[in-house]
Amino acid sequence: MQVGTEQKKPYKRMNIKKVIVTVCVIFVLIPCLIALGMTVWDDKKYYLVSLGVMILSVLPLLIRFEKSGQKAREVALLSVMTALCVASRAAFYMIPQFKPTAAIIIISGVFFGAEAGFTVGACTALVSNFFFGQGPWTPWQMFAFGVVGFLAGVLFSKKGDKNPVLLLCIFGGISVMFIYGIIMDTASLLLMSSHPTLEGLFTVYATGLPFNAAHAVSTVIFLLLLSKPFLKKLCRIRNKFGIAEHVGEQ
Amino acid sequence: MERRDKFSSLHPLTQMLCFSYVLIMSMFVMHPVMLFISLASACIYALYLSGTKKMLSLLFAMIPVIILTVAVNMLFNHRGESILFYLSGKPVTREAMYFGFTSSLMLIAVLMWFSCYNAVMTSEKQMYLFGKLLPSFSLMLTMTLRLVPDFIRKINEISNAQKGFGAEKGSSKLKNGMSILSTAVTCALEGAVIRADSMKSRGYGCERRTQYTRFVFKSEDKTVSALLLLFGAVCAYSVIKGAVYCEFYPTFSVNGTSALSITGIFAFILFCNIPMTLNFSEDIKWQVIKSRI
Repeated sequence: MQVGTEQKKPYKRMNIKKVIVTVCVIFVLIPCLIALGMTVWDDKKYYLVSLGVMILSVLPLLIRFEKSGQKAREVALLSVMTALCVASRAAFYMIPQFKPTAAIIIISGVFFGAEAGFTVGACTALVSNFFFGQGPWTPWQMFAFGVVGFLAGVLFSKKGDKNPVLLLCIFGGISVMFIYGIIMDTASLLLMSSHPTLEGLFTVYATGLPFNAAHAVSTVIFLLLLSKPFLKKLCRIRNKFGIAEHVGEQ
Repeated sequence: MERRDKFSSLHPLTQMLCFSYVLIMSMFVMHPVMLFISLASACIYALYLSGTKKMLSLLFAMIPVIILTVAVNMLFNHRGESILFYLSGKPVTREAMYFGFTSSLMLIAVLMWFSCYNAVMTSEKQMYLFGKLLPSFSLMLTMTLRLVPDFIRKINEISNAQKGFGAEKGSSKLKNGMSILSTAVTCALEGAVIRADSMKSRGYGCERRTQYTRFVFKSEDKTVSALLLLFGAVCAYSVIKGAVYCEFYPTFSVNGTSALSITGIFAFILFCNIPMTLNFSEDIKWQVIKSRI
């Protein structure tokens, strides 16, 4: 197990160029859709346009995941991580907002890289809604969890398992509180009123604050508990089956 | 008697066509009559699919949604001409209230249709539809869906094994739980690599992925799809032409008396009730056959 922590090579590193291309796609396609919504539909179909924006931002990243030539082993490992997220969300179903889902998504992003982190996040939202019920919130959740995983990958996958736990915890708390929380709160406002105002937005954020804070705290707790042993386990698997060599060379 | 849903036995493409059209239409057209039709049809179908008790409990769970939506719209929307009263200096208008009711109608209709969607579109059917677009992702989905119950079973197994040799004694519940979880995670990760290798040696990635269930596009699928497309096109035409339109601000006015708008609304009624019509005609057929015996 000690060998794993000594290895410097990350499991999979995201090319900076790739990140730029992905971001460009997001920043060109989405404004187009918003412009369409503003001109053709007279800026009245907020929810439909935003739903389209969510689907547009999830799709290119998933297609990138397809194109990156995943080996069967990697897909299998990622689906285990996703299954863990879903099972853990189901396990803590009774306590609202207390769930290790985001923590496991962040760990996947750190170890497997940004694209894989996004895919695990999006897949978790989709699959857990097979159990909890699909709805108009599914694309939003896919996007929100995906972004959390993606950012974890961008920021931390370079150092992989050698990242200090404290840094991961800080990132986890902030990303869940401000990225996941704000995306989901905006979604619920858009769902409820088709004429959203700034005032309404702030009220929704204010009412969502305690829930988001609870979610963030639970994520930090689970990251504290899980990140070290989890990364260690993943490293062990990597070394045992020699996955690092065949993925790292690509 | 177990009710059989005829619509569920059709091709997934036909079902997806119906659900996606109804959902987009409900989200797109803010028209009280259209939304009421959509909601009523969704409720009837949900009643058929999941029974009275479940449907009613779902409907009652929507009451806070209505209150919240109306309240949010009345408090934060100050547009409209007829002012009901002032709340801390801000006008609360009747138009905003109407708008709130209409959007809550939309929300409930969408949620109701999604409850039908969840009953009809099994994960397998969704995988069949989207699997070709994103093969790795849908493989991940399939594996995850299979792994979740597998993982829970494994945890029980490990827990029983640990009980068997007395490992639970002496250690705290949390510590014990963590050790069970840790073992289960290691098992799952190793299992995944082994499964992937086995998949590879059986030819994964050589050919296009096939489905477990074969979905055949039969003649009845063609008929139903043609009907759906016809009604959908008529309804969409009248919506695009502006015949089915509802103005909320500055004053509330519903536009729906011209011949085109009535045709459009009628087409929407027919569209929304195609699943139920199929079920009823199937039930009648069955009654006729039974009475002959």
